[in-house]
Amino acid sequence: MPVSAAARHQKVTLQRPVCIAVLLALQLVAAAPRPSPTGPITPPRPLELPSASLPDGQRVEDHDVILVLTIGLDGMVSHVKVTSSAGEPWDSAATIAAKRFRFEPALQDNEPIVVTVPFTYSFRAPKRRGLSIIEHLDRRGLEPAPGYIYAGDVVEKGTRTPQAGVPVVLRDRRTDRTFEALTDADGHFVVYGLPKGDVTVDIFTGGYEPLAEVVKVTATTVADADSDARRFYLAPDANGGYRTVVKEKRAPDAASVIELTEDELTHTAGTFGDPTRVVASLPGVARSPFGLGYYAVRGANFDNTGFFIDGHPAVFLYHLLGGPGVIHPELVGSLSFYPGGYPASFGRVASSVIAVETQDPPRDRWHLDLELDLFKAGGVFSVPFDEGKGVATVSLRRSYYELILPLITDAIEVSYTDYQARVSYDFSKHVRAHLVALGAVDSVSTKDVETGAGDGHSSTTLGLGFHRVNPSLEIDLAPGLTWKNSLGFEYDYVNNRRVAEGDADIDATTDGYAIQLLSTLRWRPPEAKGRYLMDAGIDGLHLDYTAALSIPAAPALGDPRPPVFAPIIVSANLRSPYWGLAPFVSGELEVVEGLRLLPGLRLNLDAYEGRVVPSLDPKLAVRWQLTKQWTLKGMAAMAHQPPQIYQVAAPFGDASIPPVEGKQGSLGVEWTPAEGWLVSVEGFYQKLDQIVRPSTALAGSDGDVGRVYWSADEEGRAFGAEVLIRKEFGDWIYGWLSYTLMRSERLRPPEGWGLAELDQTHNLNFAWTVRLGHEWSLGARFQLTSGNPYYPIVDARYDADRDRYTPVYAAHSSRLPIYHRLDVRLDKTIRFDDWLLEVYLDVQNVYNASNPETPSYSYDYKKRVDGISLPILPTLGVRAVF
Amino acid sequence: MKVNARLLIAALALTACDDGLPSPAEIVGFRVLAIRADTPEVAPGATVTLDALMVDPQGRTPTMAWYACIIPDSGGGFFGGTETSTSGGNGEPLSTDAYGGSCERRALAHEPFTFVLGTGPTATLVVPADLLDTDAALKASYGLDADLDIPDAVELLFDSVAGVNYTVALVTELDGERLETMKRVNVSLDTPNENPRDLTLHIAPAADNVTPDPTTPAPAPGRCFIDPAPTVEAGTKYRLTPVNVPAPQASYSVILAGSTTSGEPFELTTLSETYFYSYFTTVGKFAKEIAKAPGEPINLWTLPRSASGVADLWVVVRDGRGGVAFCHESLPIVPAGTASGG
Repeated sequence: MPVSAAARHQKVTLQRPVCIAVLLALQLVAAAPRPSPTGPITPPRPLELPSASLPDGQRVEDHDVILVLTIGLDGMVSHVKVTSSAGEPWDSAATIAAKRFRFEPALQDNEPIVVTVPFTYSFRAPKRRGLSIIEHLDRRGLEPAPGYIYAGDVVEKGTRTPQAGVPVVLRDRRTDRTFEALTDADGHFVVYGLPKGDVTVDIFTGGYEPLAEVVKVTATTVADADSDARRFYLAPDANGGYRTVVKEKRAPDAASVIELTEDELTHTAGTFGDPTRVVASLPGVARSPFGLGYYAVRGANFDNTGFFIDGHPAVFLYHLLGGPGVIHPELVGSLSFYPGGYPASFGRVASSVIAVETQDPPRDRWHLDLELDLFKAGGVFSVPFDEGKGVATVSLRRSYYELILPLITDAIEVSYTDYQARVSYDFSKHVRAHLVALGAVDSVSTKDVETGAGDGHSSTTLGLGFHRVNPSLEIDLAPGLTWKNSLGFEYDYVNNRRVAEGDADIDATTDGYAIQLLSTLRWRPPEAKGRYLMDAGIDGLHLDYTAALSIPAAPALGDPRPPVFAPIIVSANLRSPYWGLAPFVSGELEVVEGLRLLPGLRLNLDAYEGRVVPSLDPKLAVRWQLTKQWTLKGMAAMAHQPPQIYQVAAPFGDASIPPVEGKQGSLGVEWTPAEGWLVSVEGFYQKLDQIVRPSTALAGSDGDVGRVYWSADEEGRAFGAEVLIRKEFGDWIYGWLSYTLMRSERLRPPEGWGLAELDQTHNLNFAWTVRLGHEWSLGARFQLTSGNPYYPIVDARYDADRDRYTPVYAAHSSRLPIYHRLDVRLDKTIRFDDWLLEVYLDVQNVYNASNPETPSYSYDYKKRVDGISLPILPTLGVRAVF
Repeated sequence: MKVNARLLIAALALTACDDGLPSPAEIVGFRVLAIRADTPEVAPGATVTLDALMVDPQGRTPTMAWYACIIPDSGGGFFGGTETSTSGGNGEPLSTDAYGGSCERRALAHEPFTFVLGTGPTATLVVPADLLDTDAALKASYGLDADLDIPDAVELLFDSVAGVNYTVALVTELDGERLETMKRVNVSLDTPNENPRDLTLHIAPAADNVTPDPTTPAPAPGRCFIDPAPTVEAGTKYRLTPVNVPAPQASYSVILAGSTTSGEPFELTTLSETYFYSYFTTVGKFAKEIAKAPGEPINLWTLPRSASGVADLWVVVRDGRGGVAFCHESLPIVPAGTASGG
């Protein structure tokens, strides 16, 4: 290397005291308790010498800054000292640049050693053009670094999450000399050239309490330092460790889609931490009776909303009797709610989609999550393997109503269990595999309940469950082209049984399996930079369920109904295999800047009962970002839903029943007034045709007369507007306010249009969480909805054959009282070094509002009392996360 | 396969706790407890005499008017559900029936197949002899289109077994309150059904655990117990046991809509009668409001310690296919601690 004038200057000015100092230093080095290599030192070789940055507007002048660099075993610069100053800004610019230098480490006896070496950072005014900076490493000043080594790990207290990029400063308590390092991706740091003895470790970074601890430096090798390495736990500061975590936001794949974050999914008041229940407070979703997990979205029926887990339809998403969702919250990665116009990759649903994607826990280390509340206990355990390429996870939850209900009644037993086991493995950067097994088992039974005739006792049992195995494989075929295959094998069952003295047993057992292959090519060409993309795939589904039924038949023709339940039992076996094939294609195209079209097309081929029924689901969504803050959005879509097995299978079914057809449209606007805020106003219309309803009629044609069990002549329509004001998670407050104004109607021939059962004109939901500081948070959810319509009973007649009064209903409907309810949730996190404890109190219906679902009447309908309503329901839970 | 949300919701609603509403077994005001046709099933051209069991603790007599009509049967739901011809089903108004399911209104409008039978405690219905000569009545009764061509075999099956139901309505009015009570008289070519005979009950303190003699002779017409009428003691629980219950019960043919085995539109099957006993009283409570045989027809009747005066007891037995019988007893109440029984 050329010797700079500064180096010459240094050499010229090397005087006797300095020589003595150097000799002393050499002696110190010699006396250092380290192994004593003797060979010549190979100097460190520069690999990266980033240029210095000067303040804006600073004119480059000729200056030399002489530094002494401490270069570690990894070739990184652990310490920079200015030995010859050129003043500011030159000293700072040179120091900052030098800390980013990277070298091949110095060697002695073929072993890397830590060295100090003078370095001159020269700034030269541009002679012709550009900035000319000359860097010089003075090999003649190269020395093995004296001193000791200290290593450590910086993690977040409680979660043990490694903190990367955190500056760590070690300060010699005697000389006040400081040594700096940055933590790496694993939160690890190593500092070289330290004096032996006590040093102060200072760690200060945004969102955490400052940490200062005195440690003892004794290691002379990196191995020794690493073996002595200890953890430094950073505790979130009073603001709760609020850091804006900028996550890459997925572009909407529909005109309207609401995606919720983990905290929104697990900390919304009134949901008991159940992610899937948050949907109940979103716009367009009618309040379901008794808080059961069934959703009527934009005026559709319950079964027109599809639940999907990792792309495959879920038989049921909630445990019985208002229980939680079947997936452990910690394994819910995301939940997307499509109120209409869902992507073409989903299908066989006439209205809306709730799609849950499961996720793996982090692969940095093992994780254990245990939870206990008044109704259930559960846990999740995960462990990475093969250096983080893979992770294995198991979860299990079990209710313990059996311990609580006997305190109230012996007549009912309830239990539920859900589990999940998953393995994810990255065979390479481009091949990723998952294997997920999950399932749920629910049981509700009553026992020794007196029959209506009092002629003994009856017992009923309802058991249902599913078990699924889902292997999937993702392959990056080329940059921007990914092929994903997911295979689902599922066994489902529902057993419903009633045993009563004096009556024949009633039994309805349905079980069978579903096999589904989802194969999708996702094309995201890098050169497009998001301006266009496409998905194409195929959805193949085979269902084979059988139902063994011993069920009550309708009363014999011409006979009156008996005074009490005295069933005529008929037996039947149903089986109706289903094959479905649905190729689909969807894409996004930015026609002009800001104007995105999202077309989609799905061809459904449904084969059952010897027929192949084709249907087409076209969709078009438009999002037009007019300005940075304003976006117009609109959507038009069709969707088809095939009939259920019992609606088509002999002897009760009708193979000619067509799919339910849904047509949807919406038009709206989004406004983002500030970062993290969203205001959306959207008008919608939905029409449902060929809705299947049970029939009791005798009908005939072409000389045949017979019972009609099903009729696909019902129509539904709904229109309205939705308003959503949302503050996204990431600040001290988050949540949303949603309001829906809607009218939902049904047409059931021969009658005309009338209100649907869950028509709720006004539906207001207010769900907000405030982080109070010191790891406390308070959430509240307030719901205000119009009462459901009902037909008042205005009179009654006495049926002398049945010994029963039969109601006479008003010609026009009325409404139940307005429904209102406040839920509150209080969370507190207590951090220990290596684990944290969360305690929460979640109270539904805080002020015990009386919201009767349906009225109850006396036997002659002359007296009316309010029906049952859910009372105040508190639950206390604790969660330990390791 | 989706879990039926409505079934779950209905199940939840039905598990409601006691809501303080009155029991139908308690007689506190005017009630119509039964309508009896001297022959519940008849052939075309038959004459049917009708009367009713009307009770009132205050001894009042209402105005009474009788009507007969054919009201379409809207079926019984998939699982023997709750739809009725008067409500249109599922709580919805029967807007398609201009008369809202009322036989009185239909008869006063002189609709086909209607009669105004007169006033008073009894009435007589003369069934038209040509009722089944055409299928018009059949179509009206089962809600079939008037221009539907019914195959002869189906028509014969219906005429022979299921028959056509004439609905008889008794409209009572007392102190401004009107009530329309309905009962079916079945017209078919089948062997006619008869009302249950020899309705006999036995009463004894439950603590005595007495098993009545199954050959106990029938009491006098209209009575429940054989002579002498027993007294009952306040604060005592009594066992009421129907005796002379036929064993085996009579069997009869019915048509079920739809067959689960043959694929035919209708299935002819044989059922056995079941007797349903409905209990009513002015004093005390019953363990159950309705009992049935075969099954467990015994009921328990508890009188409060404060009971005094006379306890009226009514029992109505129905055979599940239109036949009905009823009885009544007025039982003196003695104070608690006095021996009683019968």
